[in-house]
Amino acid sequence: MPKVKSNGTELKVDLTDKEITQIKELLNREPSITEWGMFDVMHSEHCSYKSSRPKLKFFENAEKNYDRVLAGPGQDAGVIDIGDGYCLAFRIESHNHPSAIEPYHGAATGIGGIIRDILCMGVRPIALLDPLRFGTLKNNPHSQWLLKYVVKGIADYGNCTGIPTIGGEVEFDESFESNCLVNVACIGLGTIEDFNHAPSRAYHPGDYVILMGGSTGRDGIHGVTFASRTLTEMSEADRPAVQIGDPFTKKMIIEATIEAIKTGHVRGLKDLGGGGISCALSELTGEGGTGALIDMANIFTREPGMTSFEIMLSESQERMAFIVKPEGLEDILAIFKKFEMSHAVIGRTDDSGVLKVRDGENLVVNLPSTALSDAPTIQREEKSPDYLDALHKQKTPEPTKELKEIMHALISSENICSKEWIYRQYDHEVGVRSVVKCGEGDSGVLRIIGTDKFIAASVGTNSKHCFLDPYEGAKGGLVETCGNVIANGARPLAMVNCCNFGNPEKPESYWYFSKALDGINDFCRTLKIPIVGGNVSFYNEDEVKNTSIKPTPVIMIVGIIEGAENIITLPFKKPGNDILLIGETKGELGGSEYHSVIYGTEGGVPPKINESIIKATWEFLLELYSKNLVEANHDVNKGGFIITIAEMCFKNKLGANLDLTDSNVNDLRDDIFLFSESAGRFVIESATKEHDIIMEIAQQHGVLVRKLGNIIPEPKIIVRGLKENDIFLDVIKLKELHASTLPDLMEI
Amino acid sequence: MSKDENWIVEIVLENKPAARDPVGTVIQKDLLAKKGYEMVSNVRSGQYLRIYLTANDANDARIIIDKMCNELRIFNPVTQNLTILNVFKT
Repeated sequence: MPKVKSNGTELKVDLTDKEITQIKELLNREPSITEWGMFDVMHSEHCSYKSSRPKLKFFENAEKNYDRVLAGPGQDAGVIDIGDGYCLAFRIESHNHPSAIEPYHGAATGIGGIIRDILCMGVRPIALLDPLRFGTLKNNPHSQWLLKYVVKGIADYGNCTGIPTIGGEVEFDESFESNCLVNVACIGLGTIEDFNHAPSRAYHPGDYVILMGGSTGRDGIHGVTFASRTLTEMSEADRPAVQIGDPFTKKMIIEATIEAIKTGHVRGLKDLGGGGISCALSELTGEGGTGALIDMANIFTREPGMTSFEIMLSESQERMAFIVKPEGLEDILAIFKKFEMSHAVIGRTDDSGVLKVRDGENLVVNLPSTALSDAPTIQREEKSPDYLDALHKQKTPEPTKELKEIMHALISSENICSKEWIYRQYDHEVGVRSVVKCGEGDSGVLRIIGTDKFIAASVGTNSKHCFLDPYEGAKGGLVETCGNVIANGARPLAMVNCCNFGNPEKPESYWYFSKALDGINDFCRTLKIPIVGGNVSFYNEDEVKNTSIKPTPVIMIVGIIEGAENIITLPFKKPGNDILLIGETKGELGGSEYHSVIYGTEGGVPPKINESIIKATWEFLLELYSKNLVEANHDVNKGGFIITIAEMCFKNKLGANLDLTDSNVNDLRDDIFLFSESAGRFVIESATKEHDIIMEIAQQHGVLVRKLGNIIPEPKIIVRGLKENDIFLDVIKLKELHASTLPDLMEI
Repeated sequence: MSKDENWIVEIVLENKPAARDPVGTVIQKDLLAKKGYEMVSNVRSGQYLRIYLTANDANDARIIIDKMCNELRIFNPVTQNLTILNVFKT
């Protein structure tokens, strides 16, 4: 690691020699040690996106091309106009490394950070969603420990701040054993007026810069540098201190901030996260075209004797920076006093275009405002991994078990089983907006109080599919998450993503990233889904085994349901109704649960996505909804459509009488047909009398629909019309298997 | 090797000095708010455990407790410090 010197002090930095030379040339002098520290942090992968920007620039310009997009990538959160004067802000980011070493506080402060991101768009955070990845749980105390405390960290923080956790997704795979993934997503709701009040820029010279919230301490200095490296085998006690979350302070910050914004006196707002005050000030002034003079003496610190280096780089939690009009200063300070929030005026903006920080008599920082945010990009090499060809060639073995036995194994597998053990720890109803209970729909559904509109949101992706084919796998993640909100009756409006990959300096890891982004880009352009934000987390590696995590480009989708009557839920409702399978089942078992649970293999060809068929399926479903023809809907996911049907039976303890004679259009082997994970399929319930009209609409849209059978009042699933023997399944038994896996593994 | 004896080990778990301690902060603020205790400049909270065990001697008791707390994640060395306050025979 290179070292830099300033006034006799030496500092190890993560900067390249080229970057060091460029910085010296830009300033035409030797930076101070504080400035070196700021460059080091702001040029880290985590803050600068230096490896990912060359790919991210290919995304469509969402703000320009879509009228409904109010804020796109590069801001703290994406914001979309949802009509009636309201806007939605949403974002997802990773908190993987802190959670891998301190699951409770790592996850909790992840939630804290994402709440602040939403808050700085001027709106109230109203819901959380959490996609998680861990090593497999069985006989693995470390993974159990991580899961237990990550869930507890999310639950405690969310519950204390009064924000419901309405959804999430979890996968277990050994590649995540030492580097778990904790992604956190938040949705905010407010008026467009509120959003316009608080840009994350300081556009006006002469405004006051106020720091509000927690005090600045020595914790988390260089947290972003930590996030921009792999987790090494350092002694645990030597690792940088993970932040301790403080949700009750956060609750006060939320209320104080929202009240301050409502006054109209706030002209800029930024949360202090990675990179601390350095990052916040340089982004506020750099992108606002202004400068600022900050007096370090006014920054309230937790410990005496902190140096300017420590203060500028501290990543202490629960802090916000406000840019306030001079005439509004008294009102804003009165609000902060009312909420007993520590605060201080730390400086003023000016038109110099220079960020200056004074420490007593010394000017410790004197940098052009844009210098820190203009990190150079790095063009990484990419190369497809050698092992993929062999993996793709793997065939599904001949089944050695009965289909019923396989079904029992799949429904109780870690990746398919009920996640109730997790979501019952979350308060998903605080705030009185939640409409669809966890487990009763594919996505979380929230009412927009005062309107007849509902928000549906979902997160997810399939890491095993992405491992075999990142391009198709990333598209598959979009099909799945969009499918989730569509299954609930919503039209997808916009997406954000959280890309979790390995070390970008390894050409194979970068190849995964590059191909996944191509998939996201192609799909979103074709399906007209604006990409309004994202986060990239590299360096997710298992240092012990020297392998990367399975590539995990997590997708978050939000959609809107118009009218309470149009909310569709998952459980089967009425015996006698038809069960229809929408979409074509192909022999696509690569990376399937069937392969991994039954045969312990990961290979094969994963599902391919055909955008025109996906689009037709969505339009078809939305037309059925408009005619009130759908009673229940569940998208087909891991384990294939037979698992989907079983899950739909559980809630009301109903059964299904299926005859698959005409539905196996590709003449697949029974096991392949039942457990294939072909993307973009749905199972719907509809009244038998509507069968002909549904088929007619399907034909108009060119969508394949097959009637599989009918709902029966007895809790059993009868499968006839297979090539081999019929199957008889007991729904109560399946439900028990589905429900007991996680509690059995997690409860002593 | 001496015979197993009954020991008590008292330990305190607290957040590392650089980490924040919301509980301590609230207590301190409350004390100041009530006036008359301005001399209190800082409060740090922690968790006290008294553990009863059998061990060969005091040193053995310390080793067992240290190992147990680390292995079973009674505390997390990334954010917390463990201090053994006392080891004594019952």
